[in-house]
Amino acid sequence: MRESVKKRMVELLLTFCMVTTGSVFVCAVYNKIFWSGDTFLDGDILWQLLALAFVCSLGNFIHPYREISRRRAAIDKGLHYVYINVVVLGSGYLFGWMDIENLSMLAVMAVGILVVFVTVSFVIWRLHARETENLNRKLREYQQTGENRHGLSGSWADDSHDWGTEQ
Amino acid sequence: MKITIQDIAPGEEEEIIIRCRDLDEALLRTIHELKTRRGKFTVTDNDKIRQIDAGEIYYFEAVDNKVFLYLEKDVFEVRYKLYEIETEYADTDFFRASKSVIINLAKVKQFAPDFGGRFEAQMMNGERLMISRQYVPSVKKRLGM
Repeated sequence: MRESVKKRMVELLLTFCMVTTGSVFVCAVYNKIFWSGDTFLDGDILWQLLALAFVCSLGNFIHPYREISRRRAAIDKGLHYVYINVVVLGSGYLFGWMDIENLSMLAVMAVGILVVFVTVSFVIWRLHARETENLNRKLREYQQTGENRHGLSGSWADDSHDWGTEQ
Repeated sequence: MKITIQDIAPGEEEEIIIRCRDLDEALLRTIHELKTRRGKFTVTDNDKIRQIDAGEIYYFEAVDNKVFLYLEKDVFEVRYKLYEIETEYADTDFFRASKSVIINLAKVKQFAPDFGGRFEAQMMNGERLMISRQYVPSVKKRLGM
């Protein structure tokens, strides 16, 4: 499998897991505030949350793998956020989770979307930062071995047998 | 110094044998250049011809169908295509960072995370270059990750 496809699949799975967790958390808070003691939660909500998380995860494909400018990447991030809002609020309306004329319900849902979006983005950024730390560690190792290999004194003469020298 | 070139059978590995009494500095330098395949780039500097060792180069950049090499402070145009440099220097410290840039790993101070899954290469001369997402796997492979 191509490296880029593999990476995309891993990202999709990771996003799906994080969005599912976030959705359950927001659902619990939302239920406590607006539907406490009521019959809002039934078996279908579990499937609805999974479907919602999956469709939200597909938003990753807004970000192309090909080379884009920093400005374009920022615009894509904005589009991604709009996409998530449309999907979640649309699902909320479709599955009857909220009354669209109730502004407080809309506000809590919007805040929930923002919190999950920011949290997922932060976790992805931290993973990216950790990957950078690994890259930097490997870079230092590479440069150190490079110095030993390329240096014209000391270690070069010492490991001359490595070059296939026959005395 | 006597140089002998022998024909070899097809499929046989090419080999350079150095027969010498002592490995002096000049010989070490020659081996070094053979091993790292570091060539020199000929550029024009104020109507003078100048040769630049590949090890001095920070990065190459293609701009408007022209390719420039960047040293710590100077910039020169070279008469090569970026893909030619990429192919010629495939096993050295140079790596493709984006469609228009080839970077010398030996001149990278550190990497930093960038927006949209990309990385930024902070060079030893303070310049910052973007590493595109699609070239990140090849950088990792080069670094043994």
